[in-house]
Amino acid sequence: MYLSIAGNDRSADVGATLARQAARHQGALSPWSPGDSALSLKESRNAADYLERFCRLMRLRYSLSTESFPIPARPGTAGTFLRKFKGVLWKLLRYQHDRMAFQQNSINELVISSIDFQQAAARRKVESLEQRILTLETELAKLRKAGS
Amino acid sequence: MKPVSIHQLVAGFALGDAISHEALALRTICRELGYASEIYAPAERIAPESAGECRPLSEYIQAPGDVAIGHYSIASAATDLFLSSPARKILIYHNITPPEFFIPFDTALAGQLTQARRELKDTLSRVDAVWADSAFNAAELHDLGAPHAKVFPLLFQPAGLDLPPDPAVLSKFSVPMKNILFVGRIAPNKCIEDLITAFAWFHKNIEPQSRLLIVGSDQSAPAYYAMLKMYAAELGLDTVFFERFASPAGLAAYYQVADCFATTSRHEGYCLPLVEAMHMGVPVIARRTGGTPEAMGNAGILVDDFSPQELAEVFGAICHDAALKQTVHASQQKRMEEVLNRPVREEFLKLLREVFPVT
Repeated sequence: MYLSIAGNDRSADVGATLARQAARHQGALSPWSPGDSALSLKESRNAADYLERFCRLMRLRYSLSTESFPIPARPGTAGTFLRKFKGVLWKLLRYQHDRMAFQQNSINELVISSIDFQQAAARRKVESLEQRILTLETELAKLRKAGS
Repeated sequence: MKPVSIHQLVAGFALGDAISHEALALRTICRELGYASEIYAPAERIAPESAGECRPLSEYIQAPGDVAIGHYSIASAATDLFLSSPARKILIYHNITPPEFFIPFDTALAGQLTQARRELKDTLSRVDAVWADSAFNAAELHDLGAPHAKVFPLLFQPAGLDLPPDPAVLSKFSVPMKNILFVGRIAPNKCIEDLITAFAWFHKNIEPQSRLLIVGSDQSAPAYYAMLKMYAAELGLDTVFFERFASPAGLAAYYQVADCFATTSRHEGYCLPLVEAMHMGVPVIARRTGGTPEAMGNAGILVDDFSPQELAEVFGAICHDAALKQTVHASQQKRMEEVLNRPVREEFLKLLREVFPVT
């Protein structure tokens, strides 16, 4: 890593120390494979390709997760207490959360389906228009040929 | 004969945008020098809240003896009008974002950028003088066959930031956490995904009590913005805040709550927010690219060839190492003295006299 601090190249000392510390951070950040990560959208070839990829990624992500997660704690006794308290609250309210998550997930799925239906309808319409234009152009060419 | 007016033409106008900011600063200087001076932009590209500061292109009229300044960063109706103006023409080159950044997200905009790059050489041949807002941009023009491009660094006006910070923003982020701040357009060349990845390591392994504040318009590339939102959600980062466009008071508040300013942009003509952050006393971490080193001077922290984990460690160092923070802070104060004591008016007049000797 190149590192300049206040105009001085500190890659060899500060930079090297930070790089050593950084080597401790291992593992995957994203639960998705690279092909299913949001960053795969950067590979889109154009706007249409982007939309297709985006809709596919949306279909993979419609649901809310109600799984437990590590609750971060502030330093000190108060922080530890608060973390435990939040943990208990989470367990107490979970039956409500799960019900709401189920409802929200159902809505999300229906919304995604409606987008899919619209996309399919738009695609069919474009294909039909393209076909009509082709037919008209062929007719026009025939008429021009006959006229000349 | 002295020109009567020095008008400016821009592709779009919005308060907070770097080019609009420069146009306003130049207008102030021109008016102080006794010239009639207005800013013009295509009507549909003038942000509603900025309408009082900028006029539509349809109102633009100039005579042969006057001076027109055209700010160039993208092909637009403003450029066409600028080039057809009978006035003496000065083009200020703000760089054109390489179109390949936009291809996955906005094919039409990528096309406009391609067109702007294609037309640049011809445009340069039709103006009386070319100024670039950084030496990096001037070097690019040099390669395109404009060896006489003069450097007129992007103007910084601190007045816009020296406002009482927006209390709503201060209140929103009142719970003390380490705040990493990015300010700028949400555009693909800014590579904000790199910043989010580095922040994810920082948040998960170094400082769980932390936020990433991303402040800037999402209108440049909505598809890119959507990708970033999806990516932040994918990483489970509920402390990444997309704050969109901020008012000057809002911006002052974001700088006030920030522990450091960071940008991983891969293409910058200059990068004014770095200077703003330094002015606001916020330590700056920036990727070494384009005009960024010029904007930084010998101040702040420049990084390159880094992994996200390494950048996360740099965030950690600036947030937790008081000595490093002090060193960076002192360097930035020195840099700001240079920026604020710059004889802008004299520089402008000197360059103007080269085009118009009697001014």
